[in-house]
Order: sequence, then C-alpha cells, then structure tokens
Amino acid sequence: MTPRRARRLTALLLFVAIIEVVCRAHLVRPTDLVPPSAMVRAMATALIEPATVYDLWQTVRSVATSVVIATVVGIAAGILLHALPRLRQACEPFIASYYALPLFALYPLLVVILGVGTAPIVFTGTLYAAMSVLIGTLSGLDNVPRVLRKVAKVHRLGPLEALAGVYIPSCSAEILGGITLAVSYAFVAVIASEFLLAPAGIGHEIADAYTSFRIERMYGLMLALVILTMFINAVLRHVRVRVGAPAA
Amino acid sequence: MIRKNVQRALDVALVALALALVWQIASWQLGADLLPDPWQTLRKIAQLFAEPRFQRDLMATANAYVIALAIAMAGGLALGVICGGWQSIGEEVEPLVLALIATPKVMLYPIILLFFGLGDAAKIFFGLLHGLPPVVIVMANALRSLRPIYRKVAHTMRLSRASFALHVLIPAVTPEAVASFRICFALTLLGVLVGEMFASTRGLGHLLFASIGTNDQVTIMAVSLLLFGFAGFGSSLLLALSQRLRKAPL
Repeated sequence: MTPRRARRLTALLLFVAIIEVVCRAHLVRPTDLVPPSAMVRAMATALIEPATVYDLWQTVRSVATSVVIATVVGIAAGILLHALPRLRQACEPFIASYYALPLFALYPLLVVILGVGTAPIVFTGTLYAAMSVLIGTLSGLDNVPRVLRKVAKVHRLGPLEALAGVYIPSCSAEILGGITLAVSYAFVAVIASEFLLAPAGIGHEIADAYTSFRIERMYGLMLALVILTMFINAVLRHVRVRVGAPAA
Repeated sequence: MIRKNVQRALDVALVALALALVWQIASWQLGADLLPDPWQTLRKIAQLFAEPRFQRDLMATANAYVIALAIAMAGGLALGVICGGWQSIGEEVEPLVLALIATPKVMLYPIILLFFGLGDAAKIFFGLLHGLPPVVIVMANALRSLRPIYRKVAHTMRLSRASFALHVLIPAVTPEAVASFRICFALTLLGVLVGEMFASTRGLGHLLFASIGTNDQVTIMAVSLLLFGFAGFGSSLLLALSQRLRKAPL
C-alpha cells in the first residue's frame, strides 16, 4: 500500500470512528444519524432479503440499459453534430442548458405514454445520460490529431471507415469520459424516478424506509448504493487509465 | 461580425422552431390532455405569472438559487484555488469531490431533510452539493495546467506575489473560471429544484412536485419550459463570455 493510500485509509477510519463515538454518546438524535456499525449491519440485513436484492438488481439493470442506449444515441448524435458545424452551433444553447432541467419531472407523462414498469425509468435515465456521451464524443472528435486525419486520407478511407477505424478509436478516452459521467447521470435519473413514483427499485426502497421511520435501514441501503456507485466508478476509472486517459 | 451573429441567432431560432414542431406533432398524436401543445403551454405560462401563488413560488426559487449560486461560485473558486495551489491538499480533497460528483445526490435527501428540515437551508444545500464540485475541479485543473512560461515571465520581471496574481494568474484562469461558472449555473438550478421537490413547501420545484401529484400536465410543461428558457438564456450568455475570453489576448 502506498503512503498516500495508507494516509487516506487512516483518515477514513478516523472519520468513521468519530461518527461512531458521536452517535454512541447520543450527541445526535438516533433519528438523524445512526452509528456506522449499525449502518453496516442494516446493509447486511437488507442485502440478504431477496426482495431488496431484486430491487437493487432492477435499479442496476435500468441504469445499465439507459447507459447502453445513451452510448449508442450519444455517439451517433455527436458524430452528426460534428459533421454539421452550423447545426452544432445552433444547438449549443440547448446543450448548455440541458442539465439544468429536472427531466424526471416528466416521469408521470412517460408512465402514461410508455406504461408502468421499467420503460419510463430507462427512458428518463437515457435522456439524462445521452448528453454527456454526446459532449464527450464532440470533444474527442474536435481533438483528433491532424496526422490521423492525414493517415485516413492517405489510406483513402471512406467517411464510415475513417470513423470506425481511425477517429472513434482515437477519441475513445473522451468517449469513455462521457460514459463515466453518463453512468452517474443515469443513476441520478433512475433513483430520482424511483423516489418519485416507481413501485420498485432501490430508490423506492430508500424512500419507503424513510417514510416509515426505519432510519437504520435507510442508511444501510444508502451505504449499499454508495459502495456500488464507487465500485462502478473505480472500474470505469481503471478502464480509462488502460486506454490512456487521465483518471479524473 | 453582426451578420454572423444574426445568422447564428436565426439558426438557434430555427432549431427551437423544429423542436416546437416535433412537440406539436407529439401532442397531436398523444392528445392535448396528455401532452399539452406549445401554444397551450405558453398561455399557461402567461396565466401562471398573473397568479400570486406562482409569484411567491418564483421568488422563493429565485432567492434560494441566488444564494446557492453565490456560495457555490465563491466557495468553489476558493476551494479550487487551494486544491490547485497546494498539491498535497488537492491530492486529498479532489478524490472526495470527484466521488461526490459521481454520487447520485438525490438519494441523500432524507439525510439533508433530517439535518436541515423543510425550508430554504435544505434546498440551498442541495444546490451547493450540485453546483460547487465542478467549480473546484475545473479551477484546480486550470491552476495546475497554467503554462510554465507565465511563471517564468513573472520571475524574469520580478513581479511580487500580488502583481503575479493580479496581472498573470487571474487573467490566465478567468476563461476556465467562467466555463466552470456555466456548469455551476445549470447544476445549481437543478440542485435547488430537486431540493424543492423533496425538501420544501415552496418554490417551482415544489410546484412541479405538486403538479405531478395532481397530474397537471399543462403546469408541468409550463414550468419545465420556463426553467429551460431561463437556463438556456443564462448558459448562452456565459458561453458567449467564455468564448470571448478564450479568444482575447492576455
């Protein structure tokens, strides 16, 4: 273990210990914050319940489906906008303000259009996630080195061949950066939709625990979700480092 | 230059018109009860502005947003300068900030509600949680990637620390600062609205949440369009400023 990692781990353990002491000494109300040991116990209890595991699986499946669709749509839209600079310039104000909208407010409308189930949640997740892939693709295509463009020309590659064989691989780091953000945004949209109205999913479970005053369970489920998102982000960071992109 | 700007404005208007047309066609297909058309939505916006309750909600959101935005910009700038200026601090703080960016913050609402209760503090905190982290990361990166020639020039000209900050550092990182403010502008608005949806009894977010409950599609579309228009206008201004600053010589 590197000294920096050891330092971080020590700081984290110290922080957890302080919270544990503060909670055990009743310096905060047990309805506000529960000791970390109780959170871990509640998480373990929740994760052995088949219903909770199914909810977690449903959330992960919705996020994964949203990210896959968003990746395809985002890359295709990015390529199109890059090829049409005038259209891209005209779309800039819409792209810039896209993330200010709480798009999950449209969830009830989507339920009526797409029916009850995972479809409206996946659609909301895709709406949120696609834009970051599009921005990543645009940024990557903007920064393709001139020499690679010349290579494509020298080899007389057609537009599609050049895209698939040269341009997309050369901007894979930026696209992966967009996908990393897309995972976060898909999580935000899926969990927010589940919080709002969905009958299942881990977001619904957390909201349910909160409204029924099962605070330990609520913190346990949140901890599970935080660990899951941190794990997914660590995997994505590892992949990004492997393709030569900065980790951050 | 003026012709170019007019052309660009026309292009943006054409895209807006195309989007409105798609919206209108979708409304015809689904029915106006389910998806109100653009004209119906615009009329609803006009009607909402005349209602005292909506004016109160608008003011509540505006107040919370201005406070959250000011704290997020100033706080993000200060923390970004600290992280970018002192490597040891940046190495410890930035991974935490990046983890916060990647966390679905909406799930933290029960905790925030427990600590802050229903009201302005909770939604301002939600706004900060969304808006502050990107400013910290962009500013820290801007300081770290400052071209070495600037430091050399300052050294050669024997500039004092204050002169270096005033004449070199601030002009060099201003474009990045404005770019980060643009992200902050949109995300803080989202944070405040999410806060109002879950942790408030006033504001446009609360109005949206209440409209979801009563299935009031016209109000949902009207408030969404209003927010999109505001965010689009503000982001476009900051985008234009950012592009202008990048082109301007130091």
